Amino acid sequence: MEQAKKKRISDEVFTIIIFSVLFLAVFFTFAMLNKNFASVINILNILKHVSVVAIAALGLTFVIAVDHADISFYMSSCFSAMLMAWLIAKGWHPVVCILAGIVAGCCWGLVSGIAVGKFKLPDKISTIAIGSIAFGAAYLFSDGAFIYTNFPSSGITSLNNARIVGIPLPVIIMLALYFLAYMVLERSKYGRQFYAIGANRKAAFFSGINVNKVIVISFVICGGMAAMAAMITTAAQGNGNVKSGLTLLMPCFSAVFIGNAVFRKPSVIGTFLGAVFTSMVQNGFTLMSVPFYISDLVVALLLIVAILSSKFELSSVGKKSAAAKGKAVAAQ
Amino acid sequence: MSEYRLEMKGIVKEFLSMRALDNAEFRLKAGEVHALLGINGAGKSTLIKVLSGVYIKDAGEILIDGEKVSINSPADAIKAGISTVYQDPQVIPSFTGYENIYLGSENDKKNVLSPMSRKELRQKAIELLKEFPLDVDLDKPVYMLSAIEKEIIAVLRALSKRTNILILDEPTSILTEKEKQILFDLVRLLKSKGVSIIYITHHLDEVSEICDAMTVFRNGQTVAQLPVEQGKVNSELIAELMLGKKLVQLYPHKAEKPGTDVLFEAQDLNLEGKFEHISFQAKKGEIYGIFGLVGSGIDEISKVLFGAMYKSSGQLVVHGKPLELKSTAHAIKSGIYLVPGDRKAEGQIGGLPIATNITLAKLQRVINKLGLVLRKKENSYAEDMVKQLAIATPSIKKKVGELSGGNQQKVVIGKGLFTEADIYIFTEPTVGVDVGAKSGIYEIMRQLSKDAAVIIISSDCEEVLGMADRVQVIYKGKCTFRSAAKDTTLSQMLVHAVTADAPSEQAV
Amino acid sequence: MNKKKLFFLRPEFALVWIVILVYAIFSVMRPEAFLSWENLMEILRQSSSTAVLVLGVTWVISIGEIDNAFPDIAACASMLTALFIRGGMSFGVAALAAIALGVAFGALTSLLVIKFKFPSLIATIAVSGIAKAIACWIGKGIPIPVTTAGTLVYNIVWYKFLGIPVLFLLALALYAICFVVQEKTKFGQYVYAIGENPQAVRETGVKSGRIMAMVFIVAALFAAIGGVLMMGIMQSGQPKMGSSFFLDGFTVVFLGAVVFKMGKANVAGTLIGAILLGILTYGLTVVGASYFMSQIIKGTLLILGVSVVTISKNKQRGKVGVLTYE
Repeated sequence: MEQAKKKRISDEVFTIIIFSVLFLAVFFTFAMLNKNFASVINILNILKHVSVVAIAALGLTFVIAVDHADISFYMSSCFSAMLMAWLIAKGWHPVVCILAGIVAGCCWGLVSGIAVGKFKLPDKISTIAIGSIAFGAAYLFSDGAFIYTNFPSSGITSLNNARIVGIPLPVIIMLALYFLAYMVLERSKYGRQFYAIGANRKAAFFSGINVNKVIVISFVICGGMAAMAAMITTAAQGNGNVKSGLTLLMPCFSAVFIGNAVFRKPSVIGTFLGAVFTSMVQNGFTLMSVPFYISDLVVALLLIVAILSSKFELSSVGKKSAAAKGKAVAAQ
Repeated sequence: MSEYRLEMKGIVKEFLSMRALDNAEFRLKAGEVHALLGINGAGKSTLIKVLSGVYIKDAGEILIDGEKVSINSPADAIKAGISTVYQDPQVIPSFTGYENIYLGSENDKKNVLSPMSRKELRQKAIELLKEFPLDVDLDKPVYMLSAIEKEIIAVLRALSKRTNILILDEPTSILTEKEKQILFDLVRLLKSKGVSIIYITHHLDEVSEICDAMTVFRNGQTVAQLPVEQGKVNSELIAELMLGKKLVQLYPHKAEKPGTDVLFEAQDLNLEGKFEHISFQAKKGEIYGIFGLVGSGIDEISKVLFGAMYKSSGQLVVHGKPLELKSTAHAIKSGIYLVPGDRKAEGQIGGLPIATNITLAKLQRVINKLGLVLRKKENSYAEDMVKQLAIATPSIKKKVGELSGGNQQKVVIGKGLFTEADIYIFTEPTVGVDVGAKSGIYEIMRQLSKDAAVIIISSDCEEVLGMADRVQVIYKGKCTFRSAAKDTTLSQMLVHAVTADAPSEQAV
Repeated sequence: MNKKKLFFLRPEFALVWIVILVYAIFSVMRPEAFLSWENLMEILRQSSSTAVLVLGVTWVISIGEIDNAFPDIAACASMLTALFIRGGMSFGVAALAAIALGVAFGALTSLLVIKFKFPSLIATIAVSGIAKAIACWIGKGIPIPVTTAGTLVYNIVWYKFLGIPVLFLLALALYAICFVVQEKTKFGQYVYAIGENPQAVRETGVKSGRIMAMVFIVAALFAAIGGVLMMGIMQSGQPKMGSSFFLDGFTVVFLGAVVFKMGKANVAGTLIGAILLGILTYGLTVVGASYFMSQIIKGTLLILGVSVVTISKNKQRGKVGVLTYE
């Protein structure tokens, strides 16, 4: 008994060690291959680059924490981006535009959340449908064309360019959101409820948690965060691009699931490390002028390796026979 | 040729350190219907699982027709002519009856792309029905069928293979009286065809009706093997055999004086198809007990009392006021807490630490104004709870899933104590709990009852009688007996739980 | 018996009527673009490639899993075919190579899902990432035009046999094969049994893991075939064509799940779904509807399909004794 406990802990630690080694190895490899890589400017660059994915993935973490999946967030972020750009073109104050975009993102999340949490529709398929409707609705504003009007004069681009004590604003926004999310998910009452539902929905229900409500909230958070990611993309690109969010799906799922694999639960820190890791790889390859598709390939492979490594058990050889025996019985 | 179709000798099966089967013996003649009796945990279902290849025995031997066989998988069992119909037969809801009968054996070929003909299956099923004339529509999808028809499908699936020994695991628990007769006709028919049947049941009247012999189990051992004379089953004797004469002082003393305020009252609760006309009062200072067999509706009763299931009609009165429970959250807010019957699925969150589990149902107590959990406060509460309930763990950070059954249950109870409820409902509080931890849990319940109303709902007759001050017995969703515990005997309770028309001794 | 006579009035056939209704409405709106044999055949021809692409996804949905990888596997197959043809290979050989690659992707998915117990969503997201990356890698991120594909592919895509497009006949043939497999073999029986109650299937001793692996491989196989056909139609390999099939694919399968087998994805239904989507796409283009409109119509149809499927499943499960949050 005592021995079994020890082993399990070291299995978990082992995964974290593997990940850290991998992380450092990748970092130093790139640093050696390219002397610009480890510079402060580039590290800030990586963080700035990661902020979009990291924020969207952060929202997704909440949905994964309640053991659901959301495939609408990256499409609803396109809607939010276009709504913001359209309002900017109409001459509204950027703050209003951003707020409207975030509210819109939350609304799409609410629709998904109600479909899944309240009406118990299968999460993946119904969010694909709702996301697609959101994506279609994003074409309402300009029929799919880029929106540039008013962008330079509205001041929204300063969201991207501004720095506070030398740190780019998107990075600060990201860190602030991560801090908030950390407090909510890991420290607050609500976080407990998210994890309880994810770990055992029925037992959470018998503990007096309003399961359906929390599930709906997780989708709303996911939609809202996706809108914030869209806000940063829009500010960075200086235009409203209807397809801005379409590249988010894989990196976000990778970030959350790499974090999930390392810490054995969907967590704020895990998602952050997952996002930074994938972004670092992409940035490293970009500096070496390797085309984007190679880094995409590497990200996909990393996702597989990360999850595989969490399934790997120390001294699996010795355990195998016992596990196989247990399985034979369990399978019945 | 041996006298017996099946002999099981000296069967031992251990789980962790508990002996579920301890030198169990079982003998079955050809063409015999043999009842297997015993209270929950006596070892009968373990024996069946050993026989059907789900568990692998640790020691002992199995002989069929006098020859030793080794059964290490369900496939081995089927090869040996043993088929099992489980309590809740697994079917494919939208498939027709005949498709379900032949699921997995559509044809003899290994290649899954080999053609199968539904026409042929249907024909084969019709042939099978000719052999066993039963009233079942094989062309309907099984989700449209009644419970007995599903049961028949499952039996036919067993019979479609070469079956000499058929195991029926509590087949009547979900059947109505009329459906039961259909099943019995089938059993008699099978018997006449020379099939040996092992019949697991709690219902003694069924034993006297169709069984030829019975074996009684207690604590993993065979305590008696008796012939059954039609219509003459001494239920008192069997109850004694099943329970034994031990009754050590496992249970704390009863309440010294009757309870005072009525904190919780159920008035004529109904849930369609599950239970009807359930009424009782739970008072501060005493424990109220509800006893019924698994499947009698007691689990549903406990869930309705906690707002986890909607009732069809009836009324709950809490603290003297009618209360319409909207949700489990509402129940907890109203001072009610349920220790659910299925600990692993409903009670504990095995993947989370003890401390997190304990505070989960009332996080308001450990948060600050911002909603942040105060870990120090939480930990000290959790430490206190661990000490108070004597939960054996090196740390409150240990995951609940890694504790022993008894300690897991204590965590679930601790979660309830933390809500500071004054109405506690315990459903099957000691399933999978070893004897040492059992008395600890009983002691906690008795302590609790001093300031709260405690309700125990269980399929363990001994436990209900040992703990409760007043009891009622449920048989197929209806109350068949109610009395003060001190005026009641175990066999009295058991008899009322297994038949609707036991001689009635009126009481309180 | 009475039931059988009026089979086309049963609710399972509602979608067939909807298809006819939609066609009729468009015909009234734009008779010149709809009311002729040629137009009808053109619609069927255009539906064919989507139909083939999602054929295998049908069974993935039937067993209760999900496949996100099929659009990118198709894209990858189209690129590989184009690359090989440009490299001087014949269409047949190039197509076979591309299909083999598709099967390899399917095998990878199966390995991850069945052997390593990945959730199918994550496994297929990863595989789709790999497929997309390889598709882009092949053409350095841009499409590969193919002008010298030869007559075989030209005939498959454009030739008409007795006035019916060969492409549609090909799709029909593939659907017919799959229909027979689904309805007349043990494999088909087990696919649906696994979808409804995997435990019951395991109890009977069927190797359900092997069935699931086959389902994922078949899905990748047809995605690859669809990709090869798309290459023929577009006369180029398209590395990014995947995204346009994502919504369409699931919409088709879930609309199809509403016909014939109430609430269960099935190949005959998928074909009807593909034709409905083909009519809609063609019709919306003809009447000049925006991308926005068509996307919303498809998304709404998908939600409707999913809702009907969920409701019919709940109906089978019954309502008594359900917990209050469920």
